[in-house]
Amino acid sequence: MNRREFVLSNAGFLLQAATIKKDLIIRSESPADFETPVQLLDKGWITSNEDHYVRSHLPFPNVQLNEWKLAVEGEVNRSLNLTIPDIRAFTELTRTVTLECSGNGRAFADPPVPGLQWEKGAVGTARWTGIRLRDVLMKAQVKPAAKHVILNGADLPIRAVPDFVRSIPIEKAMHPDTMLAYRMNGDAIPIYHGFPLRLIVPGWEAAASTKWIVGISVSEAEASGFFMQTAYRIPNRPVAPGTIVDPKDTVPYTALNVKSIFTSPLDGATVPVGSSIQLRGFAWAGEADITRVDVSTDAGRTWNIALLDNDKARYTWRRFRYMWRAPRTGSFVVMSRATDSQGRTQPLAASWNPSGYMYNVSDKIQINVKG
Amino acid sequence: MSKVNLAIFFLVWSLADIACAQGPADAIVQKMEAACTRVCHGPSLIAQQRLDVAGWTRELNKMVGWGADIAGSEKEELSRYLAEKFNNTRPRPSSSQATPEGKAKNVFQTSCLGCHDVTLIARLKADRAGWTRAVERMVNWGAYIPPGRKEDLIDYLLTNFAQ
Repeated sequence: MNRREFVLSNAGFLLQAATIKKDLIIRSESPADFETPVQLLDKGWITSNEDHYVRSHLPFPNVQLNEWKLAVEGEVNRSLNLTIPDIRAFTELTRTVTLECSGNGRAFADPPVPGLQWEKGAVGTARWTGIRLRDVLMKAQVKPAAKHVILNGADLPIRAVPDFVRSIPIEKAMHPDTMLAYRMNGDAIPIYHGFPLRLIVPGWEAAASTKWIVGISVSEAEASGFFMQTAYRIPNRPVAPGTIVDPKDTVPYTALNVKSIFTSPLDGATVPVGSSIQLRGFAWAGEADITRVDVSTDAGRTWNIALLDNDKARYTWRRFRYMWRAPRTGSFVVMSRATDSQGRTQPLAASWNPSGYMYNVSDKIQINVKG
Repeated sequence: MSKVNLAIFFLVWSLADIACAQGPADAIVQKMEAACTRVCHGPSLIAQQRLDVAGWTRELNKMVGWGADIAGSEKEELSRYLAEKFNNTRPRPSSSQATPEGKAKNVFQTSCLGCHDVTLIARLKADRAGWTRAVERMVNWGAYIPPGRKEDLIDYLLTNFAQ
């Protein structure tokens, strides 16, 4: 792709940024990377298509639906070239899934690390409708040698920038909840979320959920490029802040951590003394379920169990609420700490890594109480 | 190309180049625009970083490997420039902080707090001319303000953080 094509292909995002995604934080105008302010996440359990964060590595592809095809090849007995009607002929399913960017919270890394400086809002929950990836793989008759499934989108790099190609292990690809989605919250997936077809890998960091999919290659080996062998990897042991880590000493980041964030009130909010305040937010844990959320209103000295809303689904966040009566004037440090069904609890201090992945420290907001 | 498409094209073209065209004219900035922000990504991606010279050098090495047109002799100067402008002394973004109500509250949260702490902005205390200069400087450094909302934002800043 040359510069002219780049600018033309970016025309779409700039207009969309100004209109459809007008209330999101623009971390990068091109490629398009938009963060959802937490007050928009507070609207409800489902994040609307307009409010859902956007992560792109390359300019949006120019999708021609009448020419679109999904190629399935590699370690299979039957290579496939599927059209949209072919895709729609498979059994349809819908899953509600919380997607979180692996770098959500990178802005809090100390020392700072390069990359999009996401704060809390590179996360969202949507209802995805599509077909099972495994149904497609079974139709192609995967050979016993298959270990990985490599996914490629229609987005193209410019100059020598590596293509965004990732892979997932065959076990996750064959899981009945891993899907190729064509609808988001009941509508056709918007172009910035992967129209016409994207992968949804529930419970895993969202870079696994490749957008604009046109190629599936079943392979004995992981994808070989930068975005599998260098990016989206974490050190295989704890490292001191600021350490440079060789990619050979890293492992892929897959399932999400346990995490919670406040969505109301906002950090630094002022409330009247004696008033009752609902402290609320969301907690999620990737492939695990949230079992409890504790809230502290005294900087972590004591903790109280928050109520969890009834809205829940596997791979999906839970809303937590805690009613607090502002006891006296002053500035209060309020914290949340989630625990999941695997026994994991959010840490109170961060473990640094060179790319700022997996940030899941207990969330903290300051509430000022005035007379 | 229809009139509408033509109009959209020129709107987008002007938006794409606005941050570059208004920037300072020194050679290193022009080099950065030519090698980075007019080719592969927008200026926001640079402006939000907080790296030292070593960190910027690693990033530039990666970009050169990916085809950025930066000569070896220019790389050192560009690393120093970027580390001077976009380093760890800058505050973290704070877009989830509470802010005063107002017509441009959303614009303030998304366009300003994506890079700055509220208290830092509150300390500036400027008049209309001062806030106009500050906003235009931020646009030059990569801040995105939705079309037609710049004056609303300046009004908001003046209302809440006046001299």
